[in-house]
Amino acid sequence: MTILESLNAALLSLLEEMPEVVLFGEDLLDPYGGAFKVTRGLQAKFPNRVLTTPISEAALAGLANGMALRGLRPVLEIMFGDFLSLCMDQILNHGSKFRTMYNDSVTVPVTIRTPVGGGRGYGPTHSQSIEKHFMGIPEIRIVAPSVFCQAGEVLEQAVRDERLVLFLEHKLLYTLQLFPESAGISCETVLDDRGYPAALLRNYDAGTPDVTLLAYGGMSRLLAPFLQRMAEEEIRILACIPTLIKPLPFEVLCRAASESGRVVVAEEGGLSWGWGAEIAARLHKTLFKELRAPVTRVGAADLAIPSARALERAVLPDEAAMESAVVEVLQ
Amino acid sequence: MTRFITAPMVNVNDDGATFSAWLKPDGTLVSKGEIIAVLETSKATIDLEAEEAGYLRIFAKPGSQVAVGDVLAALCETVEEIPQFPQAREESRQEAAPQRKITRKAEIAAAKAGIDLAVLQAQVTGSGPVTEADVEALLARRGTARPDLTVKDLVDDAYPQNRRQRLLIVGGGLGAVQLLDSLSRTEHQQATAIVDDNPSLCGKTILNVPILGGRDAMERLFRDRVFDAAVVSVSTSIDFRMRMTEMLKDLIIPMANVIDPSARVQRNAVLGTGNVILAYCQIGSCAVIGDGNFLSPYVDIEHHCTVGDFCTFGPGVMMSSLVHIESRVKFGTGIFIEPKLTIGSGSIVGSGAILTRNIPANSIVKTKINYTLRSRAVSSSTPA
Repeated sequence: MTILESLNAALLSLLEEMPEVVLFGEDLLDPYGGAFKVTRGLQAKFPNRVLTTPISEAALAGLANGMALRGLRPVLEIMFGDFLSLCMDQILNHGSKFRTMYNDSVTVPVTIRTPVGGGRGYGPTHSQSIEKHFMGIPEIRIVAPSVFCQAGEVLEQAVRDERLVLFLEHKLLYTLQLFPESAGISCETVLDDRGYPAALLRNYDAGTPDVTLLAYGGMSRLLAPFLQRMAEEEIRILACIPTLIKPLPFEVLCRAASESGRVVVAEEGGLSWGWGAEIAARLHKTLFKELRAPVTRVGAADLAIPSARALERAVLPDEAAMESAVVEVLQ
Repeated sequence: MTRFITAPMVNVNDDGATFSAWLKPDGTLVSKGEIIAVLETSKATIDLEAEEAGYLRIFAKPGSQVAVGDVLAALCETVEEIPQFPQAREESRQEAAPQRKITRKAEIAAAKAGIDLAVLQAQVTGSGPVTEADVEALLARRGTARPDLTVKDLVDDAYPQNRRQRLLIVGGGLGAVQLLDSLSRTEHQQATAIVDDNPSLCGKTILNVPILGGRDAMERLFRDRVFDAAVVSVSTSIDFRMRMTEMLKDLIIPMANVIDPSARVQRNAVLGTGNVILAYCQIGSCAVIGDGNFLSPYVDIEHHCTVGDFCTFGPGVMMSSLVHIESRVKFGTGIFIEPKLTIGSGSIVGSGAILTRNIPANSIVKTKINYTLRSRAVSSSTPA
């Protein structure tokens, strides 16, 4: 099953099981079924609960907040994650704060689904991993499926979450199979204390890892081949791939980090001020005596993402960048 | 000329399209700009135009998925022409990196131990990549890890009765190679380190023994218990051997004799220290040899002869009994000495000499050897 099929099936089952679920966004209707076809076939079955909208993301986010306050469970699709900036005010000043401002008398169970990430030559405003701009917002959750989780189940969990959730779907994952066959790689799933799954990949059978690699979302597509190649280089890697990105499932990350004492954090977003920065700060505080090398980050160059494929490849992080970081923490 | 029509990149959203229909049948003469087919992407249907005139030869089937760059059809100059379907264009793929012979992990381990990768590759045998285990095995064989490491005592130090004497070889040239060769067959000694003043040799190895620095390193290495005794490997320069011996004495570092196992030291022969005695030498009964002499292979110091200090013997120096050789005498190759003669200090005896009378100190013995040299006639049937 592909991630796309898994997400589509999850949306269908949510519509079937929860009458308060409403899907809306731009171009969701059949036969188009959304820019990336995640909602294909749903409008035909639930014509009154799968709605297409004008191009006005700020209004859509406000609509979602209002629906949630009045007892619905809206699932909003923003066509490209880059357009989340238009929703910022409704997320930052409204949806995330209502619960506190109204003294816990309301919840805002909004899920905003959106494709993120580069690799397809879509250029500066359709390729970003924009989530770092939202990671500092209190009370919201940011969730990203990887190829090493039941993506649909994670989406269902996000929709059932009483918090406002940004659900990030990396574009390059849609067509990939869940849990890809990867010889020599073991995959174990653990749940963080909020119930979101994290995958632990290992490219070795026995002993302790040399390096712990922390990554999420789109980076997961690179990990199975990368770990296989590192096994050929005799480098034992434990990769921890959480689906809950923010707040950090710190206990899970910390346990994985302490297995090796050498940590590489890989994210597709720009390196500065990102997910890896927060993790590095907290790991250095918690594991100061156990770390055997400084936590090392891999991320995109702090630049607009080019449209030209070759330049885009140069800006975004890849296996070579991860390998350099792995070698660096081992030296 | 046949021109192939390929699926165009319509928008960045789509890597391909559904091929909808041919609007012209196979074999039609189409003109430039004529619409010949329809493609459907996720966003719209696209008309495909003939880029030039020609007879249409159809490859793509209606309803099939085509990727950008796939060949859909050909435009031919004549109606009879049957163009060869071109090979599918390979993704321009980067050349696979040449099979690296050292794993990353081994590289990192080697770097940490200060092992040059070329040295590593040269010293690890067997098939498959060089692994971390190979590096560890190499380090274990060496006994010491890297030049700046404080080398811990060897395990066998706990059992002195079993211990092999560990030697420092002074000088990392051709003499060292000969010495190490002999030591590789010697049971009671082993070389653990070499010093050589050429800084570019530092970190390299000779027969698995690392060069750990220049003469300045000797004191530290001895203090760090890397070796028990030293021997100077340089045969050519008597002066150098004397200077180094003096320096070692000042540092209170003991000197060792190295004797190839094939050499024979007869009963009641007496040896000083710092002597090198290579393969097939004989030290006859009751012969007395001083310090710091270098005996190349096949040197025969006959019974009841005496040799002073710091003499150098080329291969095949033979003497009869009761010869007295004083100090710092340098012999060439293939020399015979009559009995009871005295060879004075500081003399130099050229190759091929047959000494029949005493040589005073500081003499040079030059031999005139008569021989004629001419070219031989080489015919085509004679092997060159």
